[in-house]
Amino acid sequence: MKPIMIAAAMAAGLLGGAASPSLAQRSEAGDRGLRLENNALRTDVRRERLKKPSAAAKAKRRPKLSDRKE
Amino acid sequence: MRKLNALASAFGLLGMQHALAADEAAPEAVHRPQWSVLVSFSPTYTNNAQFRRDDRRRDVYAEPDVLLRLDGKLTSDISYRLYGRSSFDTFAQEQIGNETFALLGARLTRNILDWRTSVSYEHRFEFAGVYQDLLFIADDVQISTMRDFSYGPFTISPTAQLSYRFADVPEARRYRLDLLLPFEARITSRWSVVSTPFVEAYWFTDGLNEGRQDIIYSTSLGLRYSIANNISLTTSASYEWRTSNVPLRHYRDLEIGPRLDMAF
Repeated sequence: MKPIMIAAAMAAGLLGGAASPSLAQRSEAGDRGLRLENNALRTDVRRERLKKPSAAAKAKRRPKLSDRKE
Repeated sequence: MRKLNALASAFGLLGMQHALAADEAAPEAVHRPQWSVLVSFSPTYTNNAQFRRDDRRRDVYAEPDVLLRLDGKLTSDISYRLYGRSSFDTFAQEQIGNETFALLGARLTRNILDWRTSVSYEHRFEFAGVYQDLLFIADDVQISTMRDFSYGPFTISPTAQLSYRFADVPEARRYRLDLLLPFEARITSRWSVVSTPFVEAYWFTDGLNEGRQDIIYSTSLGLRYSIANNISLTTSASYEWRTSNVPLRHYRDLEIGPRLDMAF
């Protein structure tokens, strides 16, 4: 850790509030949301094969080209 | 349409002829944008709620995840997606670990040599607690590619994605590479065995995390039951561990729980 960065982070932390997170919050910023992001990745894989009911029903109803009469 | 094609051909208007042919072949519905909503919910047990190297604490957390999206086609081979998504973790005991994200995103996808390849952009808000304190705002730029390989009841979907996170907090800025190998073995029409092993590498670029490099290894095994075409329930166990050139960032985590996924 560079001393100037720590000083800047501490100064920012003193101001408080959402726009100026504390030193602890800043150093943790690389980790925050990690569980959510990895679970989102797994969720995307799981949801890949789900079909919206209306789309599935439309696909069933739609006549195929080969079924059309000339 | 045939007359128009002949006319276009006669005048050498190849571009027009191509456009007319595409117009004739593609059903109108293909180009109509479609809204959909995806909802997931999962109560999960974890043996390391805070992702700590030391002082590991067991807990149970709930994680709802809602995604609203609009899918459409720009051209016959390029599709787009606009979406908004939000999810949060809320722990029974370790409430300091509660966190939330909300994002808006856009994605373009094209098939390249049968690989679905996408570029995407996400504008992300990261909160501590459940929509409580805004920690940082990030802009993620990502390129990814994936393909399904099926052999009888088995499907394997290798996926690679590379992203960079721009953020207002320097410590959150980083490159990330994901390599996934999702696997599914269909047992019956409703039951499947599923697994999502992956490796992630992080290279942090700024602030107090400058020079930090992490690698996360994750593997999972689960059983999925398809309640309907648009609803499934997956019960799985996942094991994840991280190594880092910052030893304090090492962790191991085992999670077990059911997850309900729905599409509307």
